[in-house]
Amino acid sequence: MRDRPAVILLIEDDETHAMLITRAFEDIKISHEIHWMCSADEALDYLLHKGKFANPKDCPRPDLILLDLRLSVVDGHEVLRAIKGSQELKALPVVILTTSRNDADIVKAYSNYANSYLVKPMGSEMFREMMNDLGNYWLKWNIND
Amino acid sequence: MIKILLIEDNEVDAWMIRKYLLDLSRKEDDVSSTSFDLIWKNSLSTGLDFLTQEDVDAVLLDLNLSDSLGLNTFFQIHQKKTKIPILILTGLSDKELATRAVREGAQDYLIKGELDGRLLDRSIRYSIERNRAQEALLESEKKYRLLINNANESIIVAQDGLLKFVNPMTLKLLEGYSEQELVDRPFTKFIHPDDKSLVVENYRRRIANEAALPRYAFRVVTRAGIVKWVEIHADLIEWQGKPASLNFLTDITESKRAEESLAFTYIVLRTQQELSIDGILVVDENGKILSYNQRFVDMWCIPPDVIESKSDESVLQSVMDKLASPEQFLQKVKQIYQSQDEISSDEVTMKDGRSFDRYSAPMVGASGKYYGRVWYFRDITERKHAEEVRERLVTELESKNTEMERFIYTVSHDLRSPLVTINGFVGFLESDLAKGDSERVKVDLKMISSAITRMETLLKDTLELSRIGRVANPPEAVPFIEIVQEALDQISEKLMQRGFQVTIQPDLPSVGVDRMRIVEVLTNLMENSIKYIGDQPQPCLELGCRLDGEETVFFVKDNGIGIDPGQHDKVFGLFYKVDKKSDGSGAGLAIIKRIIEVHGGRIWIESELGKGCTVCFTLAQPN
Repeated sequence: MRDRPAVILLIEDDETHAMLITRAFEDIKISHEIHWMCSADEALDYLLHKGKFANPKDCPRPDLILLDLRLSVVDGHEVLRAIKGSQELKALPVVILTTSRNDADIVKAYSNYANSYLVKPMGSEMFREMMNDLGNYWLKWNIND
Repeated sequence: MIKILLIEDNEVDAWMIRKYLLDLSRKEDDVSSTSFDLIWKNSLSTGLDFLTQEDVDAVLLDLNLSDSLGLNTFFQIHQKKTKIPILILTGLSDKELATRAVREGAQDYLIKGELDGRLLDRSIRYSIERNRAQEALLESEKKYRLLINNANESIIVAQDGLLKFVNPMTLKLLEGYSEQELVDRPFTKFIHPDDKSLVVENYRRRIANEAALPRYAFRVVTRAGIVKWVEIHADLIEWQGKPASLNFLTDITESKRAEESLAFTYIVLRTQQELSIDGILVVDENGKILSYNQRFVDMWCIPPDVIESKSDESVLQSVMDKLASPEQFLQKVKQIYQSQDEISSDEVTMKDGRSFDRYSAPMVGASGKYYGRVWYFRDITERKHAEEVRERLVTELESKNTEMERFIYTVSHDLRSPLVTINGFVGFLESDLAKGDSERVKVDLKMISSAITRMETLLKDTLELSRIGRVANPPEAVPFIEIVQEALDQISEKLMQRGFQVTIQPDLPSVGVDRMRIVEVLTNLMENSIKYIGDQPQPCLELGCRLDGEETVFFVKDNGIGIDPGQHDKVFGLFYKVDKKSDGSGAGLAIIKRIIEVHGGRIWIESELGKGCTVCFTLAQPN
């Protein structure tokens, strides 16, 4: 068990969705902190300690990355490709969390080594349940230290 | 030796004659003299019997015999041997009868009382000679008659406008008339009405010994009314002491018919050739042009003197400079001429952009003889153009389909997004209400309301987008400056607030558009310029147009933050937003793009990050 709260990097450009995910995570029994990035550029700055994240203290290495696909300017697929293409970052588990059920998106995401592909559910209960399972699976049962 | 049969029942007369002849034989006892051999028969029947067995040179015949009297005696002998000369022996009282016998074919008559050796000798000899001459004449006449009767030409003698002589072939030619029905009839009766004057005039000139056609064709009419073509060859002759025309007529109906059929075939071919949409050229085995149609000349723009030279080589040389790749064409043509049995087709491109399909096939006779080549050229420029248009339309349609798929995907995805928010926060709202956490209730409601607003905007813009193609006002001709002014009127306040300097190019052209829509485009583009002007201390906006080749390109140019080239296409995507927090659905540029496309134009961005942005668009050329 880690001796610190689990770090979740949430990459999501829709503010309401970010709020929704954060709220759904509140009830899980795992100590965690969510770092919300609202664009691809911001997320990559975080991961590579650049720009306003130059100080490593502000950007602890995430235990789990939740990635939305439809981001403005640079989309989620690009972010996924950047992470999985980086020697340093590719080991990080990346879970796609999106509204898209589009086959092309699913195939593309897995081809780029996404660790999991989830579609945002309808309703708070389903959201809570999903986030609970997600937290347990990736942050409790999975060993990735 | 002259062999003579004497038929005489009077023994004394017979004896007398024998004596004369013997004397003659004795008297002329030299080598050259001819002696007589006399055979005496005393009745007609014994005479006839003898003639059945032997030939004689002459017959001396008494008409009154014991078994026959008068002329009958002569006829009996004459019928038996028509070619033997007969001399009648008669008394003074029968002179009249003897004369009649001579009229019927006897050579001479001798009166018994006046007879002597010399007279007998001379009469016999003359009779034999005269008979021989008559026979020869008859023989000769028979020969000529044979020729005339069997001639393959119709032979006619005409005199005084009448037919005087016709041969059997003439009867065959005029079918159905007997000789009696032709001879002494006016020859015009048998000539086709249209040819009468021609024949009559030539006949007149010939008889008058004036210049006349020696040979020409006209039509005759048979008894049944059948028209036949004949060729006449006529000469002036003397006929029974008067000038006449001798005519040889050959039936040329068959060859005339063949000629007409050939002429007809030629007309058919010629008409077909001229009606053809293809240019046609026919060249013989020596490179001489046999035939061509006007279309061929027009297609290749061949000068009249070149085509009239009938030389394939000259024609080929004259079109060289019209071909896109003359060397290649020349090589191909030479190669085709070398391989006589090659049937080939090819596409030829002209310098002026036209395309021809070329077909070539050899003309080979039934026996395998090579007569040359036929060349066909078909202008396929239009067809190729239509094919290109079709291909472009297919590509366009395919891209539209792809666009449609993307549109559906985007709409379903983007509409789903606020639903996720609403659904989620409705749940939280319930639990927050139950807990009485009023702060959280406020947040929940705010999230729900924001998602609803977003959804409304998305739906409104989607509807708007779908309406652009469907509900379009008919295009009107508007000076572009008016559109610019109208757009500026709507937005000038915002521009002034930010301190924009606006430049409008003078001399803007007129356009054929849905005026309101294009005003909307300009307003939208200018709003974008304001939105992305950044911290530019001297904001500028320029509206104008430029000529790209034949195309007029309109533009809205600013000196704002610009757009990264990687984003130039994406910004026109539906619901695309550079900044998620900004107002609107992100459909603005997608709508503009759609409006421009409905106007038959294109829209694109020329910009670099930090160097301002120029949005360019074209419109279909007004008619």
